[in-house]
Amino acid sequence: MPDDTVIEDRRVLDLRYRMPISKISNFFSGLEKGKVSGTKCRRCGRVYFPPQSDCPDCMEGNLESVDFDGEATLETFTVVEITPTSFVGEGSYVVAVGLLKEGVRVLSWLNSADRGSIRIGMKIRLKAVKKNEGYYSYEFFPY
Amino acid sequence: MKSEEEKVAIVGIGHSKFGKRMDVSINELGWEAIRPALQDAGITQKDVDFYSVGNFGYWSEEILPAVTIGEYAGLSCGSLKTEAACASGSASLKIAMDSILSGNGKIAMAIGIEKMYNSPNGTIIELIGRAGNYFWEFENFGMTFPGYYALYASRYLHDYNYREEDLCESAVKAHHYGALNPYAQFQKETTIEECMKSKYVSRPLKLMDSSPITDGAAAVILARGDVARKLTDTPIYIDGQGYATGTAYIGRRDGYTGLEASRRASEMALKKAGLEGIGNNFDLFEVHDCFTIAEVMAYEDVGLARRGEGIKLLKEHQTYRDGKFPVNLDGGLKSKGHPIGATGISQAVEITKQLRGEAEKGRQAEIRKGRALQHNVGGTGHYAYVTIYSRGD
Repeated sequence: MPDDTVIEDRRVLDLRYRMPISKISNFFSGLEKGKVSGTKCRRCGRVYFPPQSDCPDCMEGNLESVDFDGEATLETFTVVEITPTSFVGEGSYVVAVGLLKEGVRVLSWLNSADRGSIRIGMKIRLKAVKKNEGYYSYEFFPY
Repeated sequence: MKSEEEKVAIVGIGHSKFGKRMDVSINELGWEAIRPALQDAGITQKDVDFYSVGNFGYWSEEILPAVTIGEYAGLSCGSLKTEAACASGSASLKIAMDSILSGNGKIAMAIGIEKMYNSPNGTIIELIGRAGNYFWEFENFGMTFPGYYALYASRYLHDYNYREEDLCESAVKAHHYGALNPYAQFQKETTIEECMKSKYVSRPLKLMDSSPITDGAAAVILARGDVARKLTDTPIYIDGQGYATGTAYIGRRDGYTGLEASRRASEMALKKAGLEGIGNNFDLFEVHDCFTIAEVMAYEDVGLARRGEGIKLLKEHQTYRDGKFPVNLDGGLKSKGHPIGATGISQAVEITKQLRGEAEKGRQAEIRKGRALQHNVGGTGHYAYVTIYSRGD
């Protein structure tokens, strides 16, 4: 039954952003070669993840790319049961924060066949992955 | 000692009913808070020198809510919209306060409003989940708002050896006071059992660990101290406000058992108010309990409890009205509702009511010190605002 107390919007807006990545293109080309990387300041040595091309501590630009080994410790996690509309079809998923041995933390999915065995403090490994849709991403896996 | 000309006080308050408000537009909802605020202060629109509107938006159709609400409410002085996620209301309060402290005006209005139900639930979950670091957290990993707080809840329960039932204590308290607040979205009690039986949203957090989707508006009228004294016998002074911004990327946080931005904002607010610490300086607190874990962390970040001991305060009923630190006697975000941009102003309205002794039966705190603290977090410790109020007597 139509609701005569509300007007359903007749104008539809499709929000799809175009996000520049030219300054961190090494990260994306690295994923295709199976590497997950951050950036490192050539002056102070600070490692950044997410990768960024400028070090605000030193006012330095043009940071170098550093490949991560992938070894990490699980700092915390959650199983997202109620997912956003744009993730409907994925089912529930595990989002984890891992501390890499390079000293930076990464948030990504934890791809585990046995969710009951996930424990804070366990060893996990960060890997580049190719998604079914054809693009590259990165996920944690049990060690 | 500050002169009256160097102070700002709340002289009028207004609050809409919170809930699913599909009976009103955003402008009509704003009026429900603006009209009583003006009447309470005994002023008219032309007395207002500046107004600010805390609003997150996106889920409601108006892009310029400060303008559409202003037009509807007969306001035409300078204005703007403030965004600090769930602390947009405190940001609105800050701008309105600063407009007076800077010497640019004598009277200002801080409004907070959110009209969330103008979009379907899925869209709301989507939009609020994007309120972190969109590119590195949402695009590939579909983070949600409960998901962020669940990362903290997992680690907190792990480190301090608590169970999910213990977090539910926060929901039980919230609903106890929400049941006594006529403006609350949920005016009914709940139990640990009911909380534990509710569905998981993002493990370990369940639906009953979470604040609801809410439409609502709140407004406060601020006046320079000397003007406030002429307008009312019960001005509620803003003694100090602290603020801080946390990292967007959750991986850059210092840990997952508390919010670093909250701690910095609290320290700054206490210092500005000339206080050494929490001690016995406060009659009540409003803290940002968007999730049960958020209330527990707030106790520890603000300084009501040592790290890992927030749940103990709840279990001992020390944050109920008759306890040592009364917290969220209005039902908090969990039971009163959490209309994102309105929450910070709603907390200010509640503190004003409490310090004036005007809270509803059963939830009025005993006012001895005449001082209260408001803790308002935006996102998951992305923004933090802490504001200290007093009766000045």
